[in-house]
Amino acid sequence: MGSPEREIPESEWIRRVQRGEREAFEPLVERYQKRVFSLVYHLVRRRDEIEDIAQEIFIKAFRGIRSYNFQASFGTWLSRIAVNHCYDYLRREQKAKVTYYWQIGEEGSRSIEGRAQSLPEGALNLEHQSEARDLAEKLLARAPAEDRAILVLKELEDRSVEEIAAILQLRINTVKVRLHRARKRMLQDWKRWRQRR
Amino acid sequence: MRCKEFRGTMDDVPRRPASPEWREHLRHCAACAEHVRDWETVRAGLDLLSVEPAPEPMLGFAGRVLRRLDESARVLLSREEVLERAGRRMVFATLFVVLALVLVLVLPTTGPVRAHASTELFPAEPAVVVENNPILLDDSAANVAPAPSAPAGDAGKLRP
Repeated sequence: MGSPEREIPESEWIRRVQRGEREAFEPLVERYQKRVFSLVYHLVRRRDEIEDIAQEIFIKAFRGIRSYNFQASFGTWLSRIAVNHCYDYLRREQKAKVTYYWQIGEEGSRSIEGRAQSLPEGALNLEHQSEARDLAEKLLARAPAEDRAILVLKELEDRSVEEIAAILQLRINTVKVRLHRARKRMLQDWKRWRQRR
Repeated sequence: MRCKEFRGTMDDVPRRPASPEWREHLRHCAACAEHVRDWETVRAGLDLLSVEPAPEPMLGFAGRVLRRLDESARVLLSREEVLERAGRRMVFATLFVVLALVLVLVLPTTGPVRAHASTELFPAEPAVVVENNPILLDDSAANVAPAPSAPAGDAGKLRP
């Protein structure tokens, strides 16, 4: 890791790739692979698909790297590609009505949601934590792709509103409004879901 | 504090300690209290999801990305080759058609290649003049030999 090759600044690697040096892309992949895997996992939540999706994201990044102009950080630029790719993937999946999130069936999800409803106020014990986790996962899965992207970036990836704005190419105020609406819709969804029982 | 105002400021619950105003509102408003409880539950679940470790990239991931890049470049190249070959064939076919059209337009309408439709391959012999021919003078019209090219039905007839 201490080799002079590795000490070359990131911008130099990027410039080399832009000049057509394919091998210079490898250190960039190594540097960002964990971040991309985490983002893909939080957005798509399919362990079996993560490697393929992450590879496609890096291939897209390689093909589009000439358009990278160093205005945003490379990480933000790459996250933008990742979010767009996952967003397309989610929309395709929603169109195809793949219900992989609901493989436990209606009954199972009802019991989880029922137990989550009875969660006590204040600190959650271990059992309730697991229920809250399942509930949050299911609510995220039910959310529209746009809501899920913004909620994942904020709540799971813990990105700042400024960074989310840069990734989604939106204004900061727009991000705040969308975030507020996405949270509201998620809670409304849960309430509707409970009322149907 | 009104409910709308209250709910507009509660995005940071439970990360932000509740203010006295909040507590006062929650004591009187059951709907907002339920709303806060719901959000706390969801937020707790989201927090748990966020600390859940994502799968790690398998060893050699970067190498696999580069290999896939090579493969896609090769596919792209072979696709370009196919397109180039098809394009070349199209150009040759077009040239051939243009050449054929030029020949059709440039070549004369008559000649050895294209004879006039009405022209006979074996032109008829000139008519035999009977009047001053001493051989034919004494013979009857029936002795006159027909022209070799004349059809059978026309035997014995004189050509104009």
